[in-house]
Amino acid sequence: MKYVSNLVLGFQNSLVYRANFFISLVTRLLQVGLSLLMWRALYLESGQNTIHGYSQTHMMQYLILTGLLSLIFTFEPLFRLARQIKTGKISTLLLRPINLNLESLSNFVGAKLVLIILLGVLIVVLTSGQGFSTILILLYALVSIALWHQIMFLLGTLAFWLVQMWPLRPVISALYLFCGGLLFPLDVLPTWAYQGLRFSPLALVSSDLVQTVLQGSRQPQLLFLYLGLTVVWLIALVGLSRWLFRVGLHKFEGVGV
Amino acid sequence: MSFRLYGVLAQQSFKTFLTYRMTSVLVVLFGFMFTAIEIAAGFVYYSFAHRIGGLNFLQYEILIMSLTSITTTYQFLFVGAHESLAGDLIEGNLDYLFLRPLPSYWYYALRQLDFPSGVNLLVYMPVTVFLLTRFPLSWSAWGLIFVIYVVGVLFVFALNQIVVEISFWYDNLTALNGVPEDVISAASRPARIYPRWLQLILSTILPVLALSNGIVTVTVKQSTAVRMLIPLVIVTVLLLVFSFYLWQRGTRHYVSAN
Repeated sequence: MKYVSNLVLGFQNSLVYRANFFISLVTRLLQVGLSLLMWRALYLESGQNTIHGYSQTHMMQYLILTGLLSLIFTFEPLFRLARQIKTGKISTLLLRPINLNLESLSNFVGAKLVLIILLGVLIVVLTSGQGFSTILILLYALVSIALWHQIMFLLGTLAFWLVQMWPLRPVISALYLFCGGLLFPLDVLPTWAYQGLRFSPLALVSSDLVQTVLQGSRQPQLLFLYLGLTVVWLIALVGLSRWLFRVGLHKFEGVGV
Repeated sequence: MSFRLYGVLAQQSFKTFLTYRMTSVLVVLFGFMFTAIEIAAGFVYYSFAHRIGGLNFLQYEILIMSLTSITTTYQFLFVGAHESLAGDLIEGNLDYLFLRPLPSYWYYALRQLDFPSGVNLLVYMPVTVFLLTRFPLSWSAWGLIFVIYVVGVLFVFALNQIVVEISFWYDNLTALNGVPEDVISAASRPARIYPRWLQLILSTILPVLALSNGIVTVTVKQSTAVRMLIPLVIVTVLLLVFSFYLWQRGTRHYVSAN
């Protein structure tokens, strides 16, 4: 129940700081727009109707969907945890009978609640008539949100060691754009790179999820594989975060208490 | 602010860099990773076409590397101050600044050098110059490149300065801090891929295309690069004046919380 209250708080907080939401929306749309313009130019310059099996329409659909998904996948959990560690405010949270990871997750889900509901509706609309596959894709999307949060939480624990966190922003952003397939579908990469990246957490939560939505029930075995791997990554990263957090706490000096 | 004082501040920053070795090493690595990803994306794009927006692969890489050099120079010189301003305002840390007999605007902006970015810059600058030497450029072209580089750094500084100064009036507007970075990154492609109307806006009102495409355009047509530079200079001066004005207003609005 305490996490539900925290989720509601996160939701209310997102309503109070509406400007943050709109600014994030505009900057993400800029990024999507850039990818669309780049690919429009590529189709034009190459003189081909399809590139790597993608028609221009198919490519635009893919880029728009990964772009929309990136509205949910923001870096707030990372910098929120880092701020709590840097300011020492985490001390007050450590005294409470709560799991900090779940507290962060509930806050993140609350902050993104409207977008998560919209994503659910979009998935239902795009995969309508596919029955059980739709439910599995919805489940895959929810696990992906938890996995994304876990990646951010894990990186946030680096604040126990790092003095400055700002350099993480551009590098994670670039990694997400590249490995998450926001610049291009990952299967346009050379085979070795594609096979190396397609099962990474960033690909699973973004590129693979969108491909699953677009391909629907044509490849049900792939849907099971992606969902299973997302769960495995989630469990592994939860374990790693717990360990890193415990080690980090030994370095923590509780400034601000 | 005197050169002697700046030297002392630079020494202090260098000692911080050496003290926090792990952070410094990671910041350097993150910087290189970011650039490597941008370059790799270029390889992917150019595997499908020989020219994009009128630029070949080498010119595209010059675009990426010159823009990275400009933004990394900004980070080296100013990012430390910009990253701490919002926090300093809330915690009342500006009190110590106003007690000193120094122009607070420049003292705050220049008080911390980010040496890890300086290390990145030691690689980016020679690489950019090397890539540019693949084109036969006259001395005037090199002069033009230098001017675009200097004005570009000042433009990025002024844009970020204005954004962080908004913290004098609004706290927790965290999303705004990433806007200059996102806008600049959104302009990091060949200018001709953007629709005409957008090119016009991004070349005159918010000349980020001059920032990203200015230097590489010197290798294509020098007169076009000059035409891109003019609005960049004008807007940079206006942004600097406005940021100075905002600082004056903001410091009057500032109430110590300490």
